[in-house]
Amino acid sequence: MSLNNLTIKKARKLLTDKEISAKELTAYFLKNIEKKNKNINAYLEVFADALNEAEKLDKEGIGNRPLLGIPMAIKDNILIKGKICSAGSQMLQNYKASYDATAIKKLKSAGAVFLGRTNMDEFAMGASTENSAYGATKNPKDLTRVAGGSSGGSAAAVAMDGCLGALGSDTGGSIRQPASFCGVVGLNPTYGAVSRSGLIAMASSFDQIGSMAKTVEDAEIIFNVIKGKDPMDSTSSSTPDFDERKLDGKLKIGVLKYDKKGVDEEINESMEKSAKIFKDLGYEISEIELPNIKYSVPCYYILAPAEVSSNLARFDGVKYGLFKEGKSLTEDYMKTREAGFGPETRRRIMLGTYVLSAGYYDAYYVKAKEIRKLIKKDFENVFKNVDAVISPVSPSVAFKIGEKANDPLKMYLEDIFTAPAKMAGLPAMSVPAGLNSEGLPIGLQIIAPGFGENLLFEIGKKYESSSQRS
Amino acid sequence: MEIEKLAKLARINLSPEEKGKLQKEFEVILNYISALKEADTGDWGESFSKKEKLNAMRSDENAHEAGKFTKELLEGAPFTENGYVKVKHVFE
Repeated sequence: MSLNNLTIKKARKLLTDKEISAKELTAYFLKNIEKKNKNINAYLEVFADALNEAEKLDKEGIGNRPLLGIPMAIKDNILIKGKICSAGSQMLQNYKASYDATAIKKLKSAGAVFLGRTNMDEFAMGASTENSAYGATKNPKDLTRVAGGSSGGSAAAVAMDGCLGALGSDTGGSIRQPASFCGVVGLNPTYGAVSRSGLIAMASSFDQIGSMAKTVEDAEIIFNVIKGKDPMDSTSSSTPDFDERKLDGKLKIGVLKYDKKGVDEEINESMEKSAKIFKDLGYEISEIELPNIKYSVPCYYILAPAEVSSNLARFDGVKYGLFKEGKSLTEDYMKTREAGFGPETRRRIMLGTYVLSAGYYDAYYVKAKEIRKLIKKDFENVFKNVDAVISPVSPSVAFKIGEKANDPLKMYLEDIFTAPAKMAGLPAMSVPAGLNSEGLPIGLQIIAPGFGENLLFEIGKKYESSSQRS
Repeated sequence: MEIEKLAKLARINLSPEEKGKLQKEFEVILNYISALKEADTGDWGESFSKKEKLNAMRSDENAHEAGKFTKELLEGAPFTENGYVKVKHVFE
């Protein structure tokens, strides 16, 4: 039996019909990883107990849990009890998680098998995984190019057929951009839809755990397992509207008006093609404007570093992680943080410290918070007239390794289409939109109103089947 | 801008080379994010913020038994003594 191009949906059927065991399925992916990971570096660690865990599930008997026997990859910033969780950093190279993230608990009770932990930009800061302390992840479609970031390892693991689904985390675009670069589906859920308990914090008012998979349906299956209110995260919400919103097929889609000059010509063409696909599917199409989104990236690079500088203060060589000895306690801190953090992490902590410091706080931090509200209001206005918005995911396809590594600002501009939805806490999904003339994947972003994930799935599935036909 | 002072506030030791590099990068980044200053937020932001959700509170009850997680948590700490995390003197 060929297991190529297997999806979660198909694998679950094979398992239920007893055509394959969970152990066989896991062994297939472990073999793929062994073959490909050396060159791609998607996984930082493959769990030695994966096969045993799968065998245990086989012995328990095949029930009907939604992810029973499904091999998955987990981003290296989501805690799995007893496993190392390094957040792509030297600081946590030997840190063993003392508890399960809520999303992990839910995956476990749904029967998922964890294959390993995936590479990422250090503490989820970056758009290429080049900021990982453990080397960059290469794009499975072209090994001279980046996989995107920060969840580049998870995206590459899915794209190289090294798992059936993965968890990533999205703060400014960290699920959607790598999904787009690697040609897979990436869902950034509504802020609060998935518990952040057990996700190593980067910028807490933006961070969300989300699903990455080969198809929209698979991303939906994973999301439905991990979503929901959690007493361990006071910003999490129950999501009663998921299945109740009406989907009558006459949805209105707004096409984002943007400056086409800064975007690959083939991505602009792909956007036009996508709009036509939706029109042919019977959706009402109109052009929409978000007047303040031009401020999204500068706004993000004030608010996110501010939160980073505060969240990463916990890494001091006292409670866990790396320790470097100095002559005094303060020197212990300073030496530990010098040795443990990479250049981009240091840059962001410093930037955050700057925008929060006396004399600059009002001009930068307070101003950015106000603009964040303006962007939110822009979306509210737009969603009075349309049900969803489409836009590019990234201004370019996967770029060459090293191309942007020495220019932090260039790297920040990768977030230009992904940061706006985060400003407003909205759900947004990247779906594959075909390949450019060099054979590199292009993504389409769909943005919905808060807790409108079901709209994303509905629209995404229709788009997926139509774009594959054309 | 005083990189030196910021590094001290952020508790990060920096080499002289990195200080110079950061100084240059900061000028570029700050110049870029300063685009925000031209945005017109008026007094509108103020009125909007009143609708914002505030802290979600829970009652302080059902505490777990003392010491239940101590051993596991201390396993991550570089130095411990008698069930405590050990650090150098704070005041000298």
